[in-house]
Amino acid sequence: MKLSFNILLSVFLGIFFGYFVLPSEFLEYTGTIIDVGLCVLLFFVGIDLGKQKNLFQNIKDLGYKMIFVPIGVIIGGVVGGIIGGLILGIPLNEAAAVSSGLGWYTLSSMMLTEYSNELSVLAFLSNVLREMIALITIPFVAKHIGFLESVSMCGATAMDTSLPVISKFTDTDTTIIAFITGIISTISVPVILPIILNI
Amino acid sequence: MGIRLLVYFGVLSLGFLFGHKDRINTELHRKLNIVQNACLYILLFIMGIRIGLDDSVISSFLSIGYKAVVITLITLIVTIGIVNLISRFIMNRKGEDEIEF
Repeated sequence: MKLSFNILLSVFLGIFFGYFVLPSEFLEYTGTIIDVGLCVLLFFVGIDLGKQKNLFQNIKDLGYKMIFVPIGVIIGGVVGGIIGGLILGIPLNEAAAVSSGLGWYTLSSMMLTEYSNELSVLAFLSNVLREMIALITIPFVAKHIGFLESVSMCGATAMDTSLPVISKFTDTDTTIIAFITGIISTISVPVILPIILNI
Repeated sequence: MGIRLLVYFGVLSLGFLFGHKDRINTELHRKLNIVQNACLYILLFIMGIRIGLDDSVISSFLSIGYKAVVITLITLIVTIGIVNLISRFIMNRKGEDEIEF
């Protein structure tokens, strides 16, 4: 609970400083800081994985079933968007295209720019929110619902920004599944999004 | 994206080699855990700064934010539900997700 609170506090303190304190020029440095920080954290995740001597046996035991997690994430993204579209009264293909960004807000918003500016902003916002909610609630979902369910929230970010948090709050098997889920989700976004939009 | 993915994979592999060859003893690992926590919070703080500095996010949130919230929450609930079914009936992981926090 304390760690969940710390995660929430870190994100909201950052938003506060970004909005009220820091000059907009600072934005250009944040990309480099995030890249370096992410590499340091992924190095630590690698150490944790390396310390597990039966890791490869675990991967072998998990086998082909691992692939069902990213499939579930992709289906969940599309179906969730369709239901959201029905509730909000917006075209179902547009709502599904927004949610099939799977948390990759830069690409999904860029891909939708030519189609509609409002949809592009909606995709950006929705996928930023997905990443934020995932990061903040991973500890809760992992503890009370399940490890794989916590991975599913992250979508494409499971292979990078969310991976250190997943690694911290789940186990090594789940960390491997998260990395693979993130890769497959990431590859699927530029393929599935245009298909859904053109239905 | 391809290069970035390779870098991530390379860094993970390097960490894996260090961990696998027992180059890091328990005491050092404990200290590294503190560094890991600090890095994680700094990274989340910087990500928050990026959102706060981006005027388009803040201003668009006020106009179409509710649509984004609805789509995001429903997507997350549906995704968790589907993966929960996969976890129970395909991966048979029920009862295995227990870890001390």
